[in-house]
Amino acid sequence: MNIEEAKKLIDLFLDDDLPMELASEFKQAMFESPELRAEVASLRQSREALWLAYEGDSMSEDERCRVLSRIVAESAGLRDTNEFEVSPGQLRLPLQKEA
Amino acid sequence: MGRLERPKEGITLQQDSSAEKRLLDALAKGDAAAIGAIYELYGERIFRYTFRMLNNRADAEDATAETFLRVLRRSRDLRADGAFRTWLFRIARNLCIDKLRQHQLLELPTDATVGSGEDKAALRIAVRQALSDLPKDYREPLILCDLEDISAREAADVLGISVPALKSRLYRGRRALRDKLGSSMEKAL
Repeated sequence: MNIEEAKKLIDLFLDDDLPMELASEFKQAMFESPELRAEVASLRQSREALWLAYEGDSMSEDERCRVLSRIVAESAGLRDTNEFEVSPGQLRLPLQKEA
Repeated sequence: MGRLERPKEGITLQQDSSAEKRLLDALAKGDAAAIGAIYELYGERIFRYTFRMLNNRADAEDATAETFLRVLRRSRDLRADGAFRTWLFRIARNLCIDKLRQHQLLELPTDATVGSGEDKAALRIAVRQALSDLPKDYREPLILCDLEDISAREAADVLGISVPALKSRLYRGRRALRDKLGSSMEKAL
């Protein structure tokens, strides 16, 4: 595999989508080409930076409960206008995490 | 620098497909309580996705609630055919686009929180800003595929484009992000 061919496969390599044989050829091409190594390394770094930048974006417990409360409240509104049939008491706030 | 492992977040459709099918069937039959369980399955992922699209927690919270309310309003049309998650993300995406249009949030500072270490905190802010600055056509595939870990096929369905178009945008987006970040990565990673 020459460098130009390898460059077209960088993203498939990064995504682990290359068949094993092609992946081996790609690694060999990387070994032989500092330019290809640098390209792969920089793309890998920016993806890792993306993960790091957005890790820990989970909902807080307050946010989770507020959203659920709103869904419950507006569901009741839909029920009152017959847009959605639901029996009384069907909707609760059951999603508190266990201690 | 050692290679980082991809953080595992949320649930996969495969893990929950049978539970999802039961819940969607129940909701379609008028069991409104099922929306709470569907929210429990997908609420976290939809919140993260909308937050990443909007960069604002309050707006993400609002978009998340509205996403599930739209599911509830259209519950009679629901089919548990495996495309539910795509549909859910498409609803969330449309709400985000509306919000971005309404408030021009792209012009506002982000909600980036500071992590441990000055370099990492700076990187976090730089990455979020760089992602926000990317054209929408590049930003959305990056969020769906590289952050939400959604397959190319599913992301293409969410965005209403072909898989080759999705991959082309994703690959260009990765390079655009890398070029925007430049040297700020090397200091922090």
